[in-house]
Amino acid sequence: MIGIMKKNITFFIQYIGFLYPLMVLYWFLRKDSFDLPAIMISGFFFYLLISGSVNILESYEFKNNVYHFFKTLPLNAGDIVRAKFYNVLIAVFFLFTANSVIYSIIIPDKNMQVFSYIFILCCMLLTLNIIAVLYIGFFSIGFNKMGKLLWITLILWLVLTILSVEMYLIKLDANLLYAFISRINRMVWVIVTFAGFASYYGLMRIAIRQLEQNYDNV
Amino acid sequence: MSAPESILKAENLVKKYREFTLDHVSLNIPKGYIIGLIGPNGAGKSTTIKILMNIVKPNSGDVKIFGLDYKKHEKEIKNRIGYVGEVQYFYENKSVTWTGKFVSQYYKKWDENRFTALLNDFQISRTKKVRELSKGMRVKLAMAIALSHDAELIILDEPTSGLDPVVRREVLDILMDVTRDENKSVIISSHITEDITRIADYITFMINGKIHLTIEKDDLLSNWKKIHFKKGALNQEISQTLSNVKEGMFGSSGITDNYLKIKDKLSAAIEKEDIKVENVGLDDILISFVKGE
Repeated sequence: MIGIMKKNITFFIQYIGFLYPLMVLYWFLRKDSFDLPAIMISGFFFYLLISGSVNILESYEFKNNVYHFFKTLPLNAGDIVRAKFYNVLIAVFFLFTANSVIYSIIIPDKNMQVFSYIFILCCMLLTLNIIAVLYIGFFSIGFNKMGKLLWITLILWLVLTILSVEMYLIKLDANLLYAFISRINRMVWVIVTFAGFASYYGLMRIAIRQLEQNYDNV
Repeated sequence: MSAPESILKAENLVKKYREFTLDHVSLNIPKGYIIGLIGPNGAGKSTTIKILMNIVKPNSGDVKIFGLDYKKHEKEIKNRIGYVGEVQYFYENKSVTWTGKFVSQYYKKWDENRFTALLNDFQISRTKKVRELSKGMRVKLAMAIALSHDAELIILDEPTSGLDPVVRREVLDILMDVTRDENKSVIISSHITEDITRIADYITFMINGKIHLTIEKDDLLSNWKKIHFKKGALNQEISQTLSNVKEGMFGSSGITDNYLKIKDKLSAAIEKEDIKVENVGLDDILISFVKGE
């Protein structure tokens, strides 16, 4: 398992490590106008970076029958799937931490800062669970069909981002939104976070079963 | 004398595809023997081997290797198996050295010195990327991996298919060298009968998803004979003991699977100069099975 993780982490570092600094640079350049639309857009880039790396990685691995190679080694389906899921978890957690640190630096308004943390937390949990469902699809109906769905999720996320930005532009009172979110009990976010990770773990178990059952087709 | 310890036992393996069914295949591989799995393309050899490697799940049937099953002991079993597939899959954009390091993490008994020595013997450059290796080199790399972790069972699925005769011979020589160690067992599938004749102790014929015959090679060579008769020499009684009987312009011929038993009957019934006995190649036997199906 460790071998696959090391190999994939190197890939994530190369891919995210190339694009993320460019994004951070852009954020710092428009630091003075880092408002709600900017936070929304950063959420889209969060998903874009993770789903993009998973897409490139898996298209390579499926195309080159790397799963067949794994199957000839002393590895079981659980080792393979766990390695993949932990890799995504590490990458997502890295982006979550990095984004949070950057928000704390470039967002001066306290309410807006709280909103940005909660927003990126939701992005993290949503990304994890969408990617988990995509992996289940990769192992049950194949990468070609499921790869298309990955693009659809990306487009949907983009559309939602554009819509939320548009709503802001038609004078949604952002301060009210920030105030509302910051008043929600912290316990709620703890429960949401726990539920998000629990669901990710549950989906990982389903993905392991799918790979075990459909190895012939992967 | 007690029967040799069984290293692999497969019972009633069934795998159904849309246009092919592996039909209740059973195999038993004794420790220290080389088993050749032979059959025409599409006979089910690769499916059987993939089931033995747990790459394909059977619809029914049971596989036990080293007395263990895949459900609970997949990693332990595969740690003790060396596998060379029909097609060798690796990370294409990685080097030979990287590939060795990657696989070494998973084998408990990985021997880096042995791997290096095998790469040198096979003249595989460690710095080359896998995608730059020829088909023969890829087979050799897979062989080097399969032989570098002290595997007790080596499973080879058409390893020589598509190789030129020189590389093919090299691969078989390496294999024969390895199996001098009596603790190692080998199962090799091939449709190249010459390869099987060269190395196998037992031969299993597979046709249309079924095992047709499993026989010790020496038994096969001494009992299976092709007999040519001069015109009019072949009588009804002898003819009934033969298969694949052909009548030609100058005489007739047939194949027997029990030459030692009919030898005396032949000499009593037919003049010595009217018959010619020759060894049968596995090709002839395979063809006679295929025609008889």
